[in-house]
Amino acid sequence: MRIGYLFPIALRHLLGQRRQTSLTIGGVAVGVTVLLVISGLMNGLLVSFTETIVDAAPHVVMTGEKSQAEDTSNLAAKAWPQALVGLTNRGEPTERGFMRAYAERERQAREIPGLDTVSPFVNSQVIAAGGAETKPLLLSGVLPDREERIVKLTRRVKDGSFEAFRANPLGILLGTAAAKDLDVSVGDRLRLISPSGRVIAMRVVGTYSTGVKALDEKGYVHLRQAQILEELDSGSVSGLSFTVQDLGAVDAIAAAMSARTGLKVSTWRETNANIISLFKTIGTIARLLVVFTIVVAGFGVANVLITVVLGKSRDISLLRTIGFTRARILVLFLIEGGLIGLVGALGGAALGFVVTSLLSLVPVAGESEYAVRKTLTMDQDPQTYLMTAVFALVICLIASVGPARRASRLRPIDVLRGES
Amino acid sequence: MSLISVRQMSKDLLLPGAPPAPILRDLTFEIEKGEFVAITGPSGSGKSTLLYLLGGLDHPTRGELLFDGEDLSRMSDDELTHKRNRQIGFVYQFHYLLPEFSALENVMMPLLASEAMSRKEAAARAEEVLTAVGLADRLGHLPKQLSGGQQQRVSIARALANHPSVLFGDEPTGNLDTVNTQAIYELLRELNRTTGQTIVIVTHDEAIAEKADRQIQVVDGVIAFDQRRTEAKHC
Repeated sequence: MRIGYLFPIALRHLLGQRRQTSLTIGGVAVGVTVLLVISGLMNGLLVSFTETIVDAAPHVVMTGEKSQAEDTSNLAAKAWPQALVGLTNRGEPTERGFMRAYAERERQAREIPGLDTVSPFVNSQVIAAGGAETKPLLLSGVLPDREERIVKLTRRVKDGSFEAFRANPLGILLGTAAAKDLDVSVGDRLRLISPSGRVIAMRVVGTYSTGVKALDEKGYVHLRQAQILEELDSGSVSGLSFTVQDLGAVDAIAAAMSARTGLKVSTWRETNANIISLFKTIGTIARLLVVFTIVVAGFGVANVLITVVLGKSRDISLLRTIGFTRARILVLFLIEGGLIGLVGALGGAALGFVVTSLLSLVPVAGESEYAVRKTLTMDQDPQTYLMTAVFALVICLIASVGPARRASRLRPIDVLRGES
Repeated sequence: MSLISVRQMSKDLLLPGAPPAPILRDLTFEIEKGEFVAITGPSGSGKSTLLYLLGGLDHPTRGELLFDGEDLSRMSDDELTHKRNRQIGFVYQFHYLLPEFSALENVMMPLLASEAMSRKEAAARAEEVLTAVGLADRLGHLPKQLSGGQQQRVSIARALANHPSVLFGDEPTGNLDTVNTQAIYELLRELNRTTGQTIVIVTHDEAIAEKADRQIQVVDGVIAFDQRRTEAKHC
């Protein structure tokens, strides 16, 4: 079926209902715009969150724990999977959480291409006693120069300095939230008490803020001090932090690392899976709500077309008498709905682009100082634009089906009889 | 073979909840190629219904309706539509031109619908037919910019565009003044005489009916009178 010659008829039908048609196109366009702005905002939030995370936290962490596949704690069950065999280790507790001879693990990991920085760390849960407050505190013992390359502490320091931390083996760098909690500031003394009763006196040499709450609630000490608190030798650590050169390759690198070392390796995405999925859920809900706007716009399309069908039933009958088949009348009205959808979708996409571009200039107050970007992050993914436009077009086409069928079922004889 | 052959054709009006009301009863007649036929009769006699049946716009309830050897009563809607497009031209009491389109575009419509011509070819053919009906200088005019007589000429041109086997007219001059009525009649007469165009019109106009080659009078759904003028010249 040729359809080219139907376009001028469709166009003139719509131009005949200029006011209603333009209102409906406006409705579709606004729906598309709002959907694009919401999508841009939601995706933008995730992007900005991601940027903040990957900028301040390691991309991959390897800990001393064995990976699931390499778990050898129950060899008996492995050997006789059918048997009800349970062997439990009731002797001394294993030192599962720690990695011995980390330099060797680091060497192994380094053989995997794509790694950027490696930084060993020791996690230690201590009681911190400052001036008035005594509270639990999570410590990371690190080699300052190495950790600096992952967390970029220099530019996150608020009071004091990173230099002071580097120079003072008994210095502690506290997150702003932790410092506030303990009611201490730069220059104050802090006693750290480990679960086994070891005590180290430290001096607060600086505070830092990353914008990531979990990071701001802890403190950094030198690796050796944390090893002492945890009663570890100088070759043992909790794990290794890594950054990678290409974030896209992070899963592959983590898998290779786990395979090579048999240790548990997690990526930043796994570590933050909960919050990422929360972002996605909120985004989906917001988009679903806006989708209804476009569906409502679809009713507008049906309305315009019904008006055309009623107003033009004589013309439609005439077209039928001179050789337009039912199918062609159907296609004619689908074209009319499609034209409304197309113009609305294109207009909405253009408007959406303008609005998101303007919104991305809006400065973000407060927390922006931690974020990588200082303005509202708006995502302008072309695929989102394409999908939204196609969605609007499909809705308009679906809305046209009813009126189009009605038009195609007009019997010319009925209209002619009514007039003569 | 006759162009149109009607045998024992009846048409009932079927309304839900009412017994079928006969409009046309057991009609049998033939129309030859090149004839100029006037169908007359009082209002409500069924003459327009007869015309719509002959023109493939409706199906007879019973009987046979052969058009160029094919039984229209057995054709699907799509088949009838194609038949109307290629072999049948219709002119109504009202011009039924699409108001948003120029005279030329209106005449191009059935040509484009046939999907056998490019836009250019269709425009050339439309111009040719409009010139034949005396509207060579009105091609780009919208219907509202034309007089009643001119509008009716455009609709005749549209009916003729696809070289139909027969041109049907449903009171084609019913809405025109006497001068235009005469002019349209002359145009149809001329077409019939020079090109052998078969023409079947329903008319109230006695003067026109009497000048036709053949007059079929329908009264109460039956043919009351069917006569060829003896002095009429056949082509």
